[in-house]
Amino acid sequence: MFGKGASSSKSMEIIGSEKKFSVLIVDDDPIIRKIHSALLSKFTKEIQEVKNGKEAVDLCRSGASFDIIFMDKEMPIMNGLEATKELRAMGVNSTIVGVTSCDLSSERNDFIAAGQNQCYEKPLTIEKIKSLLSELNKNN
Amino acid sequence: MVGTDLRQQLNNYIQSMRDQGILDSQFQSVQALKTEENPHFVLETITGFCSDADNGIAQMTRYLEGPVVDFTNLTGLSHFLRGSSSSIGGVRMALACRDLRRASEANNKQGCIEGMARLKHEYNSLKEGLNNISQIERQLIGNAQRGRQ
Repeated sequence: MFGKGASSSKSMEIIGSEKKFSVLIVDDDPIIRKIHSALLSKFTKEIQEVKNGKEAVDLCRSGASFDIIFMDKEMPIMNGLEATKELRAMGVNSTIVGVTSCDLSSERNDFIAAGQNQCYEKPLTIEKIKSLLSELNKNN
Repeated sequence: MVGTDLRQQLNNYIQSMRDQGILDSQFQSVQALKTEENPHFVLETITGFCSDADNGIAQMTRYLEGPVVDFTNLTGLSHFLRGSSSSIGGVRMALACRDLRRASEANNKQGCIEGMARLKHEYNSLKEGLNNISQIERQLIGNAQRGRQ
């Protein structure tokens, strides 16, 4: 999907033209979901949103799968770290990206220990998403 | 042309808010998400943000003014509003939320009272500016729709 073995610039072209990756946005803030969804729609049309970690877990348990899950940290019912641990325990191997309003440097270890692949400080930007996709391309 | 003047007026107004530190570049990132298919994106985002902020601040005031301060929920809501305000570019409001959260996490009632007052002040400034932006946006959308007819 991410052009295995391709250079990063060629991979971005592939991503830009195919737009075949799926994304799940997990955040309790409807404004964040709206903005992040609009941002991500520039890269893919396959976007779903849920408002807490439990809904994300239930969705994946029902059989839905996503290439990338953008996971907020602090949410009611089930927070992002708990949801990530649950998803990994279920065998979900999506790329999980933590997104937080807190000081990222102090929280990075928590995110990685929970099983997330990467983390960003809110809000997401076009540049952060391009950087993430480029990194995923290299790793794949 | 009227449209160009209005657009320039909008840009100038947003720049003045940036010069005052009320908004940062994130607001222009939000503007860039407006499309022909969704010309109301900025308006909808502003309306949604202000509605959430109005309700959130009212609730936080109740948590703070109750017989026993509910620091837990106050912390949670200040964090929530920090995320919202930073996503729309409301940098000073986001900082006020951060400081209020720190006071709340420390169970510092006086700090929370002062932090709440500051948050309300910053939100009122931001809200006034966003409402002015919304007015110009509505005019721009109306002009564009009339131009297509």
